[in-house]
Amino acid sequence: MTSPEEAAVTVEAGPPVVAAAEPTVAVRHVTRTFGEVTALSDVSLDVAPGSFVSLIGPSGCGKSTLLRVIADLLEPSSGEVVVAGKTPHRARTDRDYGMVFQKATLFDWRTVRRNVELPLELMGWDRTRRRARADEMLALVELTDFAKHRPAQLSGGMQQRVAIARALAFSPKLLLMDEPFGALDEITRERLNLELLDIWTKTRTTVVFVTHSIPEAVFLSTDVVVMSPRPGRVLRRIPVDLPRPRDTGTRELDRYFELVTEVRETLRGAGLL
Amino acid sequence: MSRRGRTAINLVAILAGLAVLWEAYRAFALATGNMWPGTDVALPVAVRGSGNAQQFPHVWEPVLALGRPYRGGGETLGAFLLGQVGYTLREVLAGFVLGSLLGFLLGTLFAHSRLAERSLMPYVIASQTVPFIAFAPILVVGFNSLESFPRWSGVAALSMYLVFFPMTVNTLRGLRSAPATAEELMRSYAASWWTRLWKLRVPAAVPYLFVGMKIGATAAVVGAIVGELSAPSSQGLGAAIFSFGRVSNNSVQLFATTLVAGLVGIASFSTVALLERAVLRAYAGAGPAR
Amino acid sequence: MTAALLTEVRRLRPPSALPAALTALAVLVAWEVVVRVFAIRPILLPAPSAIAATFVADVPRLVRALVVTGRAALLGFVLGSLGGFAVGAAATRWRVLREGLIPVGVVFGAVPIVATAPIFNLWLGALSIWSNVAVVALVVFFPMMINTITGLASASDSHRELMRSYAAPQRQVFAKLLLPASLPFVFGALRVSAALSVIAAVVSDFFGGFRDSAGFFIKTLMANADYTGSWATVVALCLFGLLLYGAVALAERWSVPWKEQ
Ligand SMILES: Nc1ncnc2c1ncn2[C@@H]1O[C@H](COP(=O)(O)OP(=O)(O)OP(=O)(O)O)[C@@H](O)[C@H]1O
Ligand SMILES: [Mg+2]
Repeated sequence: MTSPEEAAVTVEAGPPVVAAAEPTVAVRHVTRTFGEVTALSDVSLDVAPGSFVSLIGPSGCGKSTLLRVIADLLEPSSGEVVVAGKTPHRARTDRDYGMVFQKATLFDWRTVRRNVELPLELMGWDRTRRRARADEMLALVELTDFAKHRPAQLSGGMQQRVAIARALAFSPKLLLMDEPFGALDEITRERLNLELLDIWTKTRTTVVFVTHSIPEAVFLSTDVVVMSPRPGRVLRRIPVDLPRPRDTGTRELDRYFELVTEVRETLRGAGLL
Repeated sequence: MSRRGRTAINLVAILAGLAVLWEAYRAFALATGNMWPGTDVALPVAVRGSGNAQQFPHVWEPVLALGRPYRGGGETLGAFLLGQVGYTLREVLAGFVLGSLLGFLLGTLFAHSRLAERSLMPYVIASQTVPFIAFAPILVVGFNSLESFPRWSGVAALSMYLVFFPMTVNTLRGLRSAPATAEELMRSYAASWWTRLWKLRVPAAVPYLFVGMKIGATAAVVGAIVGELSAPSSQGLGAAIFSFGRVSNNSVQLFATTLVAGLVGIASFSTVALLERAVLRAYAGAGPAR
Repeated sequence: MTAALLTEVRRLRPPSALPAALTALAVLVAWEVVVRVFAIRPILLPAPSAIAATFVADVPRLVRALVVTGRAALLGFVLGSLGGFAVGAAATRWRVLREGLIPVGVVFGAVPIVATAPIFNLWLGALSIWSNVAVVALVVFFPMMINTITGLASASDSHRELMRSYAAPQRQVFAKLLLPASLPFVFGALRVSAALSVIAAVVSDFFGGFRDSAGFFIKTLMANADYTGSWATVVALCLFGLLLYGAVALAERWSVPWKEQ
């Protein structure tokens, strides 16, 4: 593996794509260190409203850190983050974003429906409204029949769908997803990709999506952001100009392969493959 | 600071805090004449008495009492209690050793035979949901009616009973803890059942055996003390607590004796815990999941 | 003892019934036969039939004994558990307590707490039920405290982070995450305490006090050579212990349904 300095030289950094409208997420020169370790180094990134931005990069490059800085679960060491026009802290307390982790992190003691209701409960929705909303969300992820089950009775993929339903339940402006399908098998993963795109189209949420999978990133995104190994920085931002709606046929398009290759080349150019 | 150092400091701080609370209550009760201030409601525990008959002595008074003669004159309380500790420890030791062995054997039997496990284990378990210590007088009196056994052996038998259960369960669990792949490996070497037991299962069980023995170490002390007071024997710490408790003008001695009983319990537990640490360090193996 | 016993009882599985039932029958028959054939003295071991006969004949006395001892056990069980939970829950707020109380619990777990019965008799009066209740409560207190602290700390980091992402206030995090996550531990302590509370109640009977208590009967009947009477009292007490344990197990099933399998 080459050192980050070399990587920065060999790869031509793309110009930051600045959207016309005010970005939903604006990350400006963010650095984050953990003691000796620099996880993020001068990262800048704009996420336009309604876009679907994937972060891809080698393990340990700071993707999760970046997501958690955006979510105000971590403070940046320096630099600035704006979420929905506010500080991340304000955005968090205003419940502007929903988050999905690699593990479903459902509450064992709640039924599927009550898990989806959790954020609504915290936001003080009344019972009937909560219930109606949860059922609506479960229909969206096709789990209506499992509303009364407990998480332990569900497969990994189903659990992850519950987590997505939960994150979407209060219609957040922004959806932050940290390798949500990372622990799933390839078949389930592709199905959930389609489902997620469907949901995204219906809800028009802005998504920031962390993944290790190049095909997944290309298939889902409006933009793929390739990150360098530690200290993490943005190597390149690749707009994905595949037609929509995307479906299984998309994966057979020439342009799809070109884009997959492009992402792969970028990673390889940085000495990552 | 090391974690152990901090734990020790926290422990001492909390114990010191409890001592301060004790003294604060004492001072408060003395100041208000054992009443809640401004009411005619009595405090739950009255502070009264003097000398050896104090109901709520200063925390240090029981300790000082150890150095004074415990009745009229002659032997100090400390010396007397040391003798009682010796008597009790004999019961504890006998009960602990026999109970551990019995538990180990029974656990091994269970590990060997599914049928034995399925037919006996439920009772070993149910026996633990049941106050078997209620048998104390029955066991001790019955045992003492056998002329051929020394008087302390009835109490030892009670201790043994209390030790044997946790030992059985943990032996069984420990012997079952060796990974199936290791067992298969041993089989592939055509190792006999005995070899597999001694070379694989028993070593794997060692951490579990210590869990059982740590429970047993305390249980043996509880059994000895309860056994002593439930029989018309007149020796040992339990008997001393009983007799000091009967006569209210000996209350400082009662506190001192109870304190010593507590220390015996802690010492018994710590002995096994230290042994455990030494053995496990020698093994450097993984402990049981907790 | 108690701390390790907690892990113990938490892992016990309900046994399959048939071999166990057969064993029970076989043991009873063998016991009866051995006692008769070898003419074993009742001071050592009365025949089960004799114990059963006494049990039936003595029902009023046994009920009285269970009321006296059982009420101390129950009250102490409830008060001690509440106290242990309250202190354990308070401990989650202060680090000194959180880190210091576990070793304190371990130390007190190694102490024969039942031996404090005479002290409570001295303080609260040997003929007051509260001295028995206090012993039981103290015995029950430590396992509950330890398990509450462990249980409230058992929620995973990712779950805590989820609640943080919702900007949930501390109170809600406690009510919706920490508390439910701690329930299996709390019930583990309750199950251990169910057994311990009956043990502590009967031992504090042994130290003197009520004339009608179970412990009193067991001890004095044995001294008065009424061996089957003593045995029958123990049997009654065991039944009470099982009943209490069963009640806790039922409550656990009902309140921690997600843990059953
Ligand atoms: N809480 C923390 N304390 C210390 N170091 C941390 C912490 N969180 C992350 N790091 C370090 O920061 C770096 C980036 O971690 P991060 O989890 O963001 O990587 P990632 O890109 O998400 O990796 P992966 O793809 O494996 O999830 C790693 O070197 C990690 O060790
Ligand atoms: Mg990550």
